[in-house]
Amino acid sequence: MDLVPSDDQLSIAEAAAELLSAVAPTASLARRRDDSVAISDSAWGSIAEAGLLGIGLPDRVGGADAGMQEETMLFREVGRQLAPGPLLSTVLAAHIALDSGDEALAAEFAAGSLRAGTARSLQHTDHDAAAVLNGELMLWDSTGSTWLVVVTADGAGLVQTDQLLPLRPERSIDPGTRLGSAFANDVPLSHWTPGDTTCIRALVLVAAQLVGIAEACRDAAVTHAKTREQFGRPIGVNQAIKHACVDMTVAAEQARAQLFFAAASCDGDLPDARFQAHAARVIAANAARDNAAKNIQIHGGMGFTMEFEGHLHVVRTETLGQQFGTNEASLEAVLTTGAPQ
Amino acid sequence: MDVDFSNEQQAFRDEVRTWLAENAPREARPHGGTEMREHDLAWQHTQSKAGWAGISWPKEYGGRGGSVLEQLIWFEEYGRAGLPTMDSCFVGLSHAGPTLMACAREDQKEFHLPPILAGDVIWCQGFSEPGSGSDLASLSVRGEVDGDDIVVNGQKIWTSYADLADWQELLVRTNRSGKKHDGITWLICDMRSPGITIRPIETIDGGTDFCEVFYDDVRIPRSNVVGEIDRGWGVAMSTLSFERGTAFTASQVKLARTVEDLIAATQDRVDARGRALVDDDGLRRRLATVRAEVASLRSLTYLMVSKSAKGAIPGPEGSIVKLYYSELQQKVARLGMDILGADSLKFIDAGHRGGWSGYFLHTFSSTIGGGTSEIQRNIIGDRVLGLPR
Ligand SMILES: Cc1cc2nc3c(=O)[nH]c(=O)nc-3n(C[C@H](O)[C@H](O)[C@H](O)COP(=O)(O)OP(=O)(O)OC[C@H]3O[C@@H](n4cnc5c(N)ncnc54)[C@H](O)[C@@H]3O)c2cc1C
Repeated sequence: MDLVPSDDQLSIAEAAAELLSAVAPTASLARRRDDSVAISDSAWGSIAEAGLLGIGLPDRVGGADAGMQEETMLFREVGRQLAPGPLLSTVLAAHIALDSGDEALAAEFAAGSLRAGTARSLQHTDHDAAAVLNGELMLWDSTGSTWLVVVTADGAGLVQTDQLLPLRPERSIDPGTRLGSAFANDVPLSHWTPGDTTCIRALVLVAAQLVGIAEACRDAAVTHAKTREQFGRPIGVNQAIKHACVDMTVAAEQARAQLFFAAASCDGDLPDARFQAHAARVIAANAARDNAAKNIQIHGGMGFTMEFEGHLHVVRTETLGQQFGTNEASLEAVLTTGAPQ
Repeated sequence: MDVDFSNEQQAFRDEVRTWLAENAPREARPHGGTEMREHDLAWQHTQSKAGWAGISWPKEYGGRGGSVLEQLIWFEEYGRAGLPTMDSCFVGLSHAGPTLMACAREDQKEFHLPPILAGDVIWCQGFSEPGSGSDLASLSVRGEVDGDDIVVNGQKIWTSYADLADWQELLVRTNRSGKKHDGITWLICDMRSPGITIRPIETIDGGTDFCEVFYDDVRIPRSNVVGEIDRGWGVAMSTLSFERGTAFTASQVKLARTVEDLIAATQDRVDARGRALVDDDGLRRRLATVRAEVASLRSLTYLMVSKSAKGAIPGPEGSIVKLYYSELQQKVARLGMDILGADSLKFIDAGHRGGWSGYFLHTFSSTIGGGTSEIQRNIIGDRVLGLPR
């Protein structure tokens, strides 16, 4: 038993953080606000070239042969840096392609030459009808993406974006994510793999981003509490502020620990990995939401401005929170997947 | 990262589990008085004879010298067996003993440590006073050097198990001239010394473990000073890293069991309108939340223990676990009141084997004892986050 990330894992995080802040800094989100694609081609190219999309894929499709833990280290940084665009959905698409035996397609996703956004059906779907898309759909980063992933607890598959015409772009609350809507009429998914393997991976990697967000908010709040002065002293001397920072720390630490536990349980194929992943998702979502709100509060009026990054944590948390299954669904799963071992 | 235990550790776990199943006391722990003392000491004695006492104590002091992972496993199994975690041997094993190991003279260690492990003596902690709780360093019980003795006068309060104890770790003020942290002395006090009066205080959960202790010209030999006169504050703070992150493991495992019990309790219960509790969305959300939170508490402990195993010395981060655990425990206790409904009102006892309300009332202490939650937040804010004071 060892929950401390290895040096190799830490260096993945470090390299990812450095690259993401160089090619897709948070400030770039506002600049690209009116662009149809959230991430620039050059940023996407650099990320793919650095091999970040293939970390958890076998080397025969161009991956680095590492596991869910290493992907977790990457996506924690993606969350912390609020990196834009369809990074997670493209990684999931590569796994779906691989699991369904289409290694050539997996290699294209891993190399970043193809991108995949996300489609989620907004209506209730019966278990046995999950492999066919019907009704109203919400799309994440479909612009610039040839493919879309559909991830459910019953299975995961792919669909080509142009099969869903007409697409309607929607104004997104998150400038790092493009939203759209579409309507599907009996569109079968390709590369369908039944079961919740992809869903579990999605949960853990969503949790990873939410943990990164919770940590970033805590760090920003603590820095502000030390430097902003009112009544002649730093605001952090006041317990109302100090203790809020502490509660943000407890939430972030708890979420990080559970995230590592879940990732290690998945890699180790433990019988309760599914429970641990849902728990990680729930705990991380609560931490991200609470910390994002406290960060804004601690920044006062400045916290309510577009110029300040705090609102980006809020909107990314919400945007991610709907993308691959909801918090409510994970809460229910925590209760129904059986007691942790 | 991995969450598996090695074959060797697994074998250790099996051994612990089997031994506990065969040897743990079968009778309910008595509520107080000498029967409780006898019960706790007998159980400690049994552990000691079988070589299980002081899992985390170094070998040179008669302990098992277990690795931090063995400590973790031992405490997990101890919690799983449902054994009480804060019995009257607790202060000796987890506070006074470790303090003596860190700061006492050889002759003091030789005299005091073996009986603690063997289950021959009970220790209590005489730190808090009526005027000094969170601000412990302001304490004012007087200790005056008089020849070979230190003469103690004043009052301590909230001393758990003082009426059952043989020895006490006692903090007194021997010097008033300097800063408040200077001038405190750590004494080994024989609880049978003339001049000591002990009065039990009843607590809201029906317990009588708490006591007031009055000192009227109590003479304590100077040779019972641990460390140096006036330097007792450092001695009192020396044990913080002893548990290496495992301090709440057994309690946390018990809490996880409690949550599972509550989930099971919803299966066959109905509300006042005859609807099955298991279908109540509000309760489902709360149960799911605490189940996930209890899991993350374990993960937090595992993360701390992993760091300890790599040689990190646990610092004030331990307060994060204490803070989180104690508030979570209260949340679970409240949820239980709602699930058990009217049944929860029948007060049975604080041991919570019989009744929920005893447990519910008991949990109010967890955010006060051992440093209040507000003080834990101050510690984390100041020392972990480096926020200005
Ligand atoms: C179950 C239990 C067992 C105990 N066993 C022992 C024992 O064996 N030996 C022993 O010596 N003591 C023992 N104690 C005492 C315990 O250590 C004290 O109760 C505790 O330190 C708080 O001190 P106090 O009761 O004087 O409260 P106070 O210090 O008066 O605190 C009252 C309230 O004010 C808050 N407060 C105080 N200072 C601050 C601050 N700076 N910032 C924000 N809020 C603040 C506190 O958090 C609390 O909410 C025990 C207590 C309990 C509940």
